[in-house]
Amino acid sequence: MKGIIEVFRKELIVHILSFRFASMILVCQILIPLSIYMGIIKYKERVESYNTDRTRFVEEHTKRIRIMRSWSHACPESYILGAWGVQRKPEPLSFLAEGCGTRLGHFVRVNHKHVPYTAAWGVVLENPEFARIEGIPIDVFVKDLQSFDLALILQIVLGLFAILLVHDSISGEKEGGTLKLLASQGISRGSILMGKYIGAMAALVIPFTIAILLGMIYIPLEIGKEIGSDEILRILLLYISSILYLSVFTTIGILISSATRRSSTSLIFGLFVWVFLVVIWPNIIGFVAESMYNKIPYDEDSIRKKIDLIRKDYSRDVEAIEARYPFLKDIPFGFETNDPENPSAKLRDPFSPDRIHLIHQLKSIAREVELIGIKHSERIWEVRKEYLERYPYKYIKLSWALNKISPAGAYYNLTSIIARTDWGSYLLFLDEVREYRKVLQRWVIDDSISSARWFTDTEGIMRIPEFKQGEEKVVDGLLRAGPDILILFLANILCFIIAYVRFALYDVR
Amino acid sequence: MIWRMVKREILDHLLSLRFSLSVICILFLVIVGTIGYSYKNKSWFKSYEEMTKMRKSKFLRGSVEELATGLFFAFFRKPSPMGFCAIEDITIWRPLICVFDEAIMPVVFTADPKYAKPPGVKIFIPDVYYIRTKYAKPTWIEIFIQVLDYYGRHVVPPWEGLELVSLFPRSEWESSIPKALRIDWVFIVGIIGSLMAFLLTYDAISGERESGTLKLILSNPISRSGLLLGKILGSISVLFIAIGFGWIISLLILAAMGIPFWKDPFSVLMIPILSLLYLLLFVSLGLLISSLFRTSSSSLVVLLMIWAVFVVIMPGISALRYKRMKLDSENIFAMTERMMMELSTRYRDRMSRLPEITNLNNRETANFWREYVKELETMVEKEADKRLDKIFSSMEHARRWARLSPVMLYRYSVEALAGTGFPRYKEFVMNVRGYMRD
Repeated sequence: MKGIIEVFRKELIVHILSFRFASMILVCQILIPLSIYMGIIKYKERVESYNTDRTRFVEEHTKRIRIMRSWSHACPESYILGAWGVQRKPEPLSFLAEGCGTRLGHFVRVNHKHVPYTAAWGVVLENPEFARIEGIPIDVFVKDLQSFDLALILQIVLGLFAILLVHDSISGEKEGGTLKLLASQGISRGSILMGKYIGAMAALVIPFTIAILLGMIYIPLEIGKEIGSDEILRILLLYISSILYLSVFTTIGILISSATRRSSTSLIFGLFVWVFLVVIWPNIIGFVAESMYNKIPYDEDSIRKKIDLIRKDYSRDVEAIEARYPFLKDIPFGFETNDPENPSAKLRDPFSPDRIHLIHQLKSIAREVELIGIKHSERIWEVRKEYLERYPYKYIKLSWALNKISPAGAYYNLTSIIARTDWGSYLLFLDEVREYRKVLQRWVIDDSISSARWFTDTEGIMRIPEFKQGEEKVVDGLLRAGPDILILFLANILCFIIAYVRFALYDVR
Repeated sequence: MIWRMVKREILDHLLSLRFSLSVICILFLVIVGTIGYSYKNKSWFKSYEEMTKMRKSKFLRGSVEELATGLFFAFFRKPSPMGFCAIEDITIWRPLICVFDEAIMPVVFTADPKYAKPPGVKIFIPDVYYIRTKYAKPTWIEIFIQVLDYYGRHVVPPWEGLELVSLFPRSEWESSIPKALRIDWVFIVGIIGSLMAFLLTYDAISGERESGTLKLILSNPISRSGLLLGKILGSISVLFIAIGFGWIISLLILAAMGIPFWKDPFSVLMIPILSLLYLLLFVSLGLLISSLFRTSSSSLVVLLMIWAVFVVIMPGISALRYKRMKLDSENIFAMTERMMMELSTRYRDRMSRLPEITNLNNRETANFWREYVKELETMVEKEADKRLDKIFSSMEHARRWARLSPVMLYRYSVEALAGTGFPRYKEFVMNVRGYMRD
């Protein structure tokens, strides 16, 4: 134990006095606070656009509701209720790890007769289908310019520094001959290795911690309200996972250093390992996954045919209802008519004797049609779900799993899960929206259609149940990130053990 | 004497570990990148051909209705044979279709070649249909089902959504998978090649000073500038060997995959020369730092920092200069409606004076509506132009800032040679709009 402390002290002092340490301090103090600041600005932009979208959406919706006079105005197929939807809140920690959550859509159209399966990039009021074209994420234009978040800087720059710090920790001493001296001091080889490892980690963590603390100054100034105790816990977890990631590269560096004779060879090897793990592998996985899009066996046509069949079922059912009540054909849109013989004139006339009867009849018809629609929409969702899980989701999961082969990929995934900006959180959000849809469904069938005035009253429509975005618990997130944590741990332990074995076999003579 | 110096440098590098490791890296990347590119873009080349053929045949035999509603108005961008040098990242920049009809200016949007094949095109522009429904007033039950179709022919309940492009659009796919740079020639040379240049030169002078061989060399009858020149020439020719090897391999793969790169011989020749020019910058930077520092390890640290800043950090910072603009504030659909309201108020007097407002057989009415539609068209066109200009100018602003980084400079120049990238895309959109006006 004493040996470890001795070696650790020596290593730390050597590192701190070195040129690389000075340059590391400089780079960290510039880049990390800058990236945090930029990330906060971006996050605030997102929040602002979320708020403006929300107010505009609600305003427009209220305006539209005010002009409607009957259920047929409010019916989900018309552009009034058809555009009802929910937005995804921007995640507060996206300024530390952007993940892919910021690139995915954030507006989901919710309708009791449509099971949502994807999110659009913009709030589109009139025809939700336009979300697909009009709301194209404009960020795609700058996709070739990289993002600039803390996770990326740690992944690339500090990983590089870890290799640079330790590349000569053993091979350099072999060259200089001081290793023999150290081994003759009565310190066990395990202690030497452990001391070197802890010394290098301390030298890495000090500048990075100072820089993060410097960057955190912005948080109470800019977004103090959004950061609660949960977020602070998440930031701490991010910090710990970053240390875990840096330690992977430190152990890799020590392994290479103990396996080679000359420090220049170990440096070149270390750099190439770093280039492969950090630059080449994640990019290749992303590139190949992108190219796979055309090659995935998309049997879309058969899916479309299935969906079309279900739609035909629906229109057949609706036509059957129409045939049962022939007077519906004469009722015009909005019940507006000048013809006194028209049934809708009876509806509009408060003194007509048939009025109550007609209203009840229309109510029951509306209820029937809505229920049929709900039934068929769930059938369509089953078809879609099967397709999504069989093709795109499977391949997306595969690409993320392959990305984890490199510790950089595992670290990226881990940070984005902690910051809730990963693809899995997006799916969780879609699940929540689907749950919300059931609430909306109950509201449509039980409250609106059976309400007093016509089919609903304006207040009834205004009382649409609100969507509350649930927050995933930290523990659940960590469970989801289990494989990533495991990979980082295993990489650490494996590299360290191999380095130890290699070093123990080293012959001092 | 310089030549002996160059020879020594070349031999030295060729036998070194870093050279062999870099060549392995480059070869690996070239193979993955080129095969991936041709795999991905073959369908683009194919569907472009199909599209042109079909357009010709339709022009000869198609009915007026087909011409007016169908694919005659869809345009495909011509794929560039050298596209793999600077792969376009964006769905929007890829095959692009502009669809428009009598009342609406082109809406620019994406379609994948796979789904843009003639029978499968599912493009939905309901504006005209919507205008029609406004006058036709569907019945109560109809509005329940709200009949809509791509061309307004069949009944499709919209509550399940009309799949515009695909069940799982490419844009969503691209945002779901891990974000990555494209493995293209710019990546290989711009990122890996520049790192290689630094690794070859970081100890060119400081290393020799450390080991003492510098004094030995200088004791020979060679000038200092000659020594430096020899070092530069040696390193750059070694880089040229590695890069040229990669270039030839990638051309061979392209030929095997059937991408007609030979149609553009100028670029085939110019792109390696340009790459050499770019690498020369890094070689001379490496020599500068190497001669400034005493130990080779500190010169390497400085060089790696420079590399990280140039290649990783600077493009990221310039991306922040890109102003995120919101496109969805009002879509084309709502815009047309607003314009129509405006026009109606403007023409209210004239409309009230018309004898029969809906009877198009009446000449006066027909003339009025013709004028009305024309006016509407120009109004919408102006608005659409404004939007497009906003996006384009914002993009250009970001590109101006990105030029701070040499990698991005290199990317843009390769894009210009390969015929890909944003300026070409803009040109294409402008051409289509011009054509539409004609």
